[in-house]
Amino acid sequence: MRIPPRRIARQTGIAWTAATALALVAPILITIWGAFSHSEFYGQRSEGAPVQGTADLFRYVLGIWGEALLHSAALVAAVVPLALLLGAPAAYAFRRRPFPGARWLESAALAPLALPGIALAVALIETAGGAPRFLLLVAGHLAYTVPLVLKTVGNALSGFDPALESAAKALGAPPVETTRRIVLPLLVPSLVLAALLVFAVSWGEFNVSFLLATPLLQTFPAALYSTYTTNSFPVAAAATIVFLLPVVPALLAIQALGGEEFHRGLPA
Amino acid sequence: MKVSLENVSYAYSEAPVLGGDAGNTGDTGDQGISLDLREGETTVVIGPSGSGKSTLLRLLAGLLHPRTGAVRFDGRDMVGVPTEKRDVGVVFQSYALFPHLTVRQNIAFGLTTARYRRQGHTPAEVDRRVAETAALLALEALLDRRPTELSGGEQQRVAVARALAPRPALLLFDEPLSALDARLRRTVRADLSRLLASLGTTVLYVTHDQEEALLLADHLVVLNRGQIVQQGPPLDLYRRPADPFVATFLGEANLLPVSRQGGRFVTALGTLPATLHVPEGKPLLLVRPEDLVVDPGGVRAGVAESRGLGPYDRVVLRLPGGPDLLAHLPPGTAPEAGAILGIALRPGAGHLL
Repeated sequence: MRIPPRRIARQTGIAWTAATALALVAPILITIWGAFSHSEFYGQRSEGAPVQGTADLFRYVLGIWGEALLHSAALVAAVVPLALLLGAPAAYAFRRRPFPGARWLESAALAPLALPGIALAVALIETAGGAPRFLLLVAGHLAYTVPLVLKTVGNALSGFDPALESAAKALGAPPVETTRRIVLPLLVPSLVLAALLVFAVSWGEFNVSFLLATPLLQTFPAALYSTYTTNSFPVAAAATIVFLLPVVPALLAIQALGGEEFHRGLPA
Repeated sequence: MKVSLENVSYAYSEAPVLGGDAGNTGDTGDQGISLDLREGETTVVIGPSGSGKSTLLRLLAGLLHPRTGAVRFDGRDMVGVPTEKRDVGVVFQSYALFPHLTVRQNIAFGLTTARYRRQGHTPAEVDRRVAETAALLALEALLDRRPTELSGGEQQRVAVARALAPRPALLLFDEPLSALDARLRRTVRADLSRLLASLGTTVLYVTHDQEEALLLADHLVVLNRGQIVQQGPPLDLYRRPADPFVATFLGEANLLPVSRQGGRFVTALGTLPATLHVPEGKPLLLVRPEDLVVDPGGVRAGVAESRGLGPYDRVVLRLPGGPDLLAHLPPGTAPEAGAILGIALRPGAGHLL
């Protein structure tokens, strides 16, 4: 029996998608397996007490890397609002108030995404090495996250009719009222999406964080590096799970925002 | 409100769009456009795309500001006054309904903005006005829907209601029916015509559709390449256009060359009556398709095409040595293609330009 070529193409497509998904998920699955399925003995604390059992393993991980976790949280708490405050108005200017060279500049603003972390970190230290290290970290993270905001909010702006703003003005709304009652509610879905993306990227960012880290100021991904190099695999795997915990809800939320209802904008 | 444009021109990145030498004809120089909108009347501006008609509307709305000249509302120069401070309502071509608001909230929007808060309206008044306006446009049943849940015709009515609710002194319509299909456009056009007549508001209505223009206009302005070509009562412009552009833009037109033979003026349809005033230069005789009648004593013409369209029969006639003529004959009276018939100009019809 001959199988119709269209069916072969479809099944190849499904297999391809499944393989891609598996390749993306497999490292996480291996990590989870690593954290839970090993022997009772995980290692020795520096003060001598052994790490025993899964619960003790997580207690141990939080004990050594709790501070790094707090640094990461503080960094994300600063980077998410700042990226939105810098990116959203800039996206508006690019799409609604085009000036000569705006398109070129908008593309150029995406360039930091391709910049190796080491180059960015060295550039930051060269130009503002005397600044508090936390601020340098924030600056480094903004370079990687503002482009995401520009792109998400910019696309949302292109998706709605500029005549909406003219209509609000013709109905007697000054620019601030037009922004508050029309533009912002319509941008809420893209702003939420941008915030989640910024969170995910900033939370997991390693290169710049590692290079700018000081012994007293380490982010969790940077700390994770030394865990993987110095501790046993189960300890590192447990640390990774702690790290992934806040990312999962964020990723699920990003997925959920595909709904059409949400993209129509929020009710007043 | 009395609205006037005085010598207004507008250019988009140095390219004249309205006034000036927008058509690059070299003969208009730096002249701007001057136009008065009569109080309580509907002025329709018609022109092909790129003629500057939407620019004209946006200058009145304050969405654009002129390069030269003045825009006056009741004598006051409005140049520099932003849109939100002008007493205007705009119906956009795309409707521009707020997608995140219900129909009720869309209509109420103009009654709750800074401009109307200054007038101190109470929430009860806003509700009453919304209900009133919704009733005027038969939208009562749709008030709690979102714009995306409405048909094209319903969206169009919401757009009109929203512009109308604050009772602006000047209503601006930017090709508001162009997104509707032909059948719906006819009914909406008729409803709009009744509504505008009953409102008594000063209206500027921009369109490229000649039927819409003739039905809605108290005063018709024809725009081409950023300049006003002709203005006046709509039927006058249809019957007595100033040039071939206006003649063909406002309807189907046969334009016959006129030659001078001795003291008489002759066209392919015969000698012109001595009573007609014949302009200098190379005059043309405008014959509308409905101006031609079958007349056994008339000029012999061959029927090249013939088709009944319902309200009339559309016939293309071939004159010996002359141009083809388009004629609209009473339904069911046109002979088949290939026939020969006598054709004449209806008494009193025809216009020389």
